[in-house]
Amino acid sequence: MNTRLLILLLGMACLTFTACDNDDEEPMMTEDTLYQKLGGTTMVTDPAGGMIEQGRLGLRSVVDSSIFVIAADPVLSPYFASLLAEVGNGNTTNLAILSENLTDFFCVATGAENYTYDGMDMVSAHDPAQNPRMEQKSTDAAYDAFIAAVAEGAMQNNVPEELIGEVGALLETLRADVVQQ
Amino acid sequence: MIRPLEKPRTSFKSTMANSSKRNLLLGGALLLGIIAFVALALRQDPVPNAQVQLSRIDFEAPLDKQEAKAIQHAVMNTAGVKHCYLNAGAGTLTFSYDLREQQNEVVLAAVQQTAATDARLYQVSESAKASSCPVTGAGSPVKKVLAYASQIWPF
Repeated sequence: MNTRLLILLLGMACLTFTACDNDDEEPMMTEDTLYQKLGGTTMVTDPAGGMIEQGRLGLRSVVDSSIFVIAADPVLSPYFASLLAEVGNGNTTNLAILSENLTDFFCVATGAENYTYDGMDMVSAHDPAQNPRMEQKSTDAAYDAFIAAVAEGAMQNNVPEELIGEVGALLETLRADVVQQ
Repeated sequence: MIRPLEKPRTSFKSTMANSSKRNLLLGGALLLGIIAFVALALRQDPVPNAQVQLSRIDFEAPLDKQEAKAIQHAVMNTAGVKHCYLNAGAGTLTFSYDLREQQNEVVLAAVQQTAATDARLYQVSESAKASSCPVTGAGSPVKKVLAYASQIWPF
């Protein structure tokens, strides 16, 4: 009797484990965000001082290099003229402010979790009616030049081509918000 | 037998005084809390490279490769210059320098000594100064409130 009971219990246990075993189920795979591909949250030494997430440092380097290209481009420089305005010694320069805020924006847009962007949304920011600092509406040509400048900034920082393509694709998703003509 | 009335433990006057003290303490604590909150909210981490200024030099004509290389070399060898980028086709040079160490006129002088092409500093007009890339954070509702608060309680 006891042996029968034992066999019955073993049989039920086998059935239970077999039923739970689902070979068809694939393990959950999540694709890395662009921020993670650029180094993610790994802490590295910041050349400007202290420690910084590698993803943010990479994006800041791209942003900084892009700003030089933008300011040297006659098509784009009118939109960014105040970058070149001198500030008094001791004041934070417009270059530093733009670099910080644009880096925040790129960090959030590429999937960073430890940073926030609290500037205007892209539609309001590029609408002269809502943003008095935007003198004129952006054109497709200017936005093309902007994307090209970011791509050149990324190339100067040896960002792999496929990631530059992803950055370009990300910027393309914002075209309708930025170019309002 | 008539029992004498018990003496009140605290007089009305002292009760009022205690109540005022408690209110004063609560009010003070609340005020300190508000001040601490606003101070913490207004506190910002220092911006990296806060003293790095961007400047531009425009050339009269596009530059050839050799002249461009010589100009870049001269600019990067000027003390305080951090980075430069030359758009030879457009005849523009952008460079950054530390405000505490250098002035853009000095960099211009170094360029003029090297370049055969006439060069001048790009001057930003007053109207252009009022416009810029909108990614400034100035439009954030939180920052607007904090900016208003800082006008009321200047720190």
